[in-house]
Amino acid sequence: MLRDSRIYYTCLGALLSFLAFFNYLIDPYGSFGTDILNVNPVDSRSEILNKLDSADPQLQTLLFGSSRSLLFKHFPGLNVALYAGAIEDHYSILRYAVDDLQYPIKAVVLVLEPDLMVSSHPVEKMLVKNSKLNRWLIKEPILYGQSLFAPPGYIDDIAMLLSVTTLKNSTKVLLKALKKRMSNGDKSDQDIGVVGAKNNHVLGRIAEARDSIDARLRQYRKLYMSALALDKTRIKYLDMFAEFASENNIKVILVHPGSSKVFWDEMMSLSNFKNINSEFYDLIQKVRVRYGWTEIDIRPGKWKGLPLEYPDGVHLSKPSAAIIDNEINEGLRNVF
Amino acid sequence: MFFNSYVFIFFFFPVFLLSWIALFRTRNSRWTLLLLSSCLFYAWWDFRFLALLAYIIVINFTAGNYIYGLENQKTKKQVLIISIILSLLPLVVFKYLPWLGGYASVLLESESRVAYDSLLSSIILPLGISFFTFQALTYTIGLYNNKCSHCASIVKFSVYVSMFPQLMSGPIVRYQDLDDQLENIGDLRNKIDLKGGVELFFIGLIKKIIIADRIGMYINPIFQPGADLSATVAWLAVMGYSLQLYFDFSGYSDMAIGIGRCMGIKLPDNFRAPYTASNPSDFWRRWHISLSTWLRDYLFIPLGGSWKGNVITYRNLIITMFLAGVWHGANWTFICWGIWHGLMLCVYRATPAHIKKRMPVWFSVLLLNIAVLIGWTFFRTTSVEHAFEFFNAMLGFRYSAGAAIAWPIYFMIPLGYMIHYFERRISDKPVKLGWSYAVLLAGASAWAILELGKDAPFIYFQF
Repeated sequence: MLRDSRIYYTCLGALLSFLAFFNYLIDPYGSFGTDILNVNPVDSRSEILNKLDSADPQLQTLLFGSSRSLLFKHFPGLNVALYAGAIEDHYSILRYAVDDLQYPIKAVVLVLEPDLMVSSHPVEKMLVKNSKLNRWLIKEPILYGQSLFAPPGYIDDIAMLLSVTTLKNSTKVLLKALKKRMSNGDKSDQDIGVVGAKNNHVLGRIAEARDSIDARLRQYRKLYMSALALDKTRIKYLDMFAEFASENNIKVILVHPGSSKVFWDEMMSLSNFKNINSEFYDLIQKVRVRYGWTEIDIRPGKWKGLPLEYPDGVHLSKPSAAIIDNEINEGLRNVF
Repeated sequence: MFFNSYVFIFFFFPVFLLSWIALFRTRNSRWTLLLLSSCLFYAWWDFRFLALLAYIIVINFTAGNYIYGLENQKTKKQVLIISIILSLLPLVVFKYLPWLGGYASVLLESESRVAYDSLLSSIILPLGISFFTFQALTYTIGLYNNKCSHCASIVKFSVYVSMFPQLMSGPIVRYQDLDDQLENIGDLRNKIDLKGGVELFFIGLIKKIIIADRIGMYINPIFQPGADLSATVAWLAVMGYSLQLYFDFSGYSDMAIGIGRCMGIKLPDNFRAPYTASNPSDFWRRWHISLSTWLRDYLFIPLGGSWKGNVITYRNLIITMFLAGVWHGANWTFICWGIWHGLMLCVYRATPAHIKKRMPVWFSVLLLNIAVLIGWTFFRTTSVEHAFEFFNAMLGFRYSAGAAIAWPIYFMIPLGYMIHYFERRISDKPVKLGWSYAVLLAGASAWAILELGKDAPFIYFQF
């Protein structure tokens, strides 16, 4: 027992208030309209929807993927890849483009990795909150009477303000803003990119360390440590995606993103990674064969083209992304 | 609803507590408030199972009335037996039927087998069923044995069975321990301990979220059947599990007791640093105390206890622990775990006193911990085959460099045992802790709140 509980309660109250206030002011998801640093909110889904809303009415191709696909800049249609974009994002965006916006989509490129098919990677809160996209998410059946037992609305706000994920995102936003101000608009940083940036200041070094192979390995190991198998709901989304594309005569080009050999070999020493990857490729091959998808495989040992570079182990360098861009465009020409 | 959720911490509990202290100040109004809040708490998970809770309450309350009103001892015994059978019936249907019924599926044709298997797998285990069933039974059995007084009010009895702080995972409280407290609930002067209660609640939350869930995240992949493990990884995983289970369950108990304190109700301790015990009997005086004393008083002693010679005592120990295993779950692994603990108790009892005396304490603690870890291996694995696969790995027979364990586990395990040892020191010799501890605790509490969104259920909810 504590000798003086006042210290405990004062510290606890102060800490929680500070953290909630910090998250409220930074507002990384743009939920409260504060955003004092005046930086773009992390919610890339809204940006994608804006792009889609203002796209050419004759838009015929879309590219779905995660941050690994953001550098495919020469894609002839619209690249709708998202940071940590998972299959439920792709399915919802495809439905939005076809059902709501009535684009005559003829082909899509689906860049899919098993890392985003495991349950330890949660469904993004911003997808669940997005009213244009969440209509196509699978709703768990709730008994009629059970719907009476719903928490009051302010609980969602508290959960957002006092959450470790929000805190991480707020810190990222703060660091980004500080970095921008300290570099005082120095373009050289942006040209080189975060990886390999010749920054001498502390924030640059933090960014560099965060994007090293070691950091990626730590991040992926953590993800796979608590992942025992593929997420069943995500397997359903994959089926729904394939079924919807098939019903609407949309051709699918499946891309297996690669990684550096060093990264791959390190990860393969983790039994969960090995098992989940093998489960994923068995599953995806069945889907591919059933729906007649074409395939581009750039995983180590599978890719036969020019050598590819992955500065942080998983993300392609710009020249390497251009090589895959060409490959995808070639694939699209064959499809049409 | 779970204690480790935003809705409980920021809505349910503050609203309840405010009403409890400020608005409802008479005995009857507090009974009503506590009953309705407990129903809401349970219904938040699945309102359909409120009917089951009501069934257990009605059966035992009615049986209590009969037992109290009857003169004839034989008829009283018949009422008691009927009430025990009727109370255990839902437990059999929801907990054991899916397991035992599974063996019967081989008798069916393939199509009917699919339908039968899907019927069995559709049975949901109601949360806390074993806990509230046993809690209700302590009243009926206690009344039959003249250990407690008759409860004339069904509202009071319903409050006793369904009290939300310990509804899901105990501690299992006997009626005689709560009778007076519930009767005098209208006057809680000098009983409500908000400061101590909230502090204990947060200690439980820290144990659950920061220690147990984190360890669980690291060790769960290791317990996959078929994983290639080295002896070191297997031992680390089972040590991690023993700490995860302790911090998860004792965390829940701390939260329950803390909530009780805030309400002015004293709930019994459920844990006293069990891994510092030096023998199996001592371990069971420190682990899940409310269940072990229940088993002692309602099974071991009625079977004859330890007064009828060694052979009968060993038999009673094995039967009692076998049933403890069955209580925990419908799987052979739990039965093996129960029998293992029964054997541990028998071996300890059979060991001559001079050997016990000569053994250094540190060695006894080490030996006990190794035996307990073997037991937890049964408890955690998914089947007996998986358990033996794991034992092979622990003995180094399945050596492989295949599966690695996350490096933080190397820190978490010593840290867990250190905290455990610290708890033992505090429970043996209570001390008032200074400001540095208060600041540390506040930091850890804030961290636990930030991690709430993961909503990991308590391990003992499945029992």
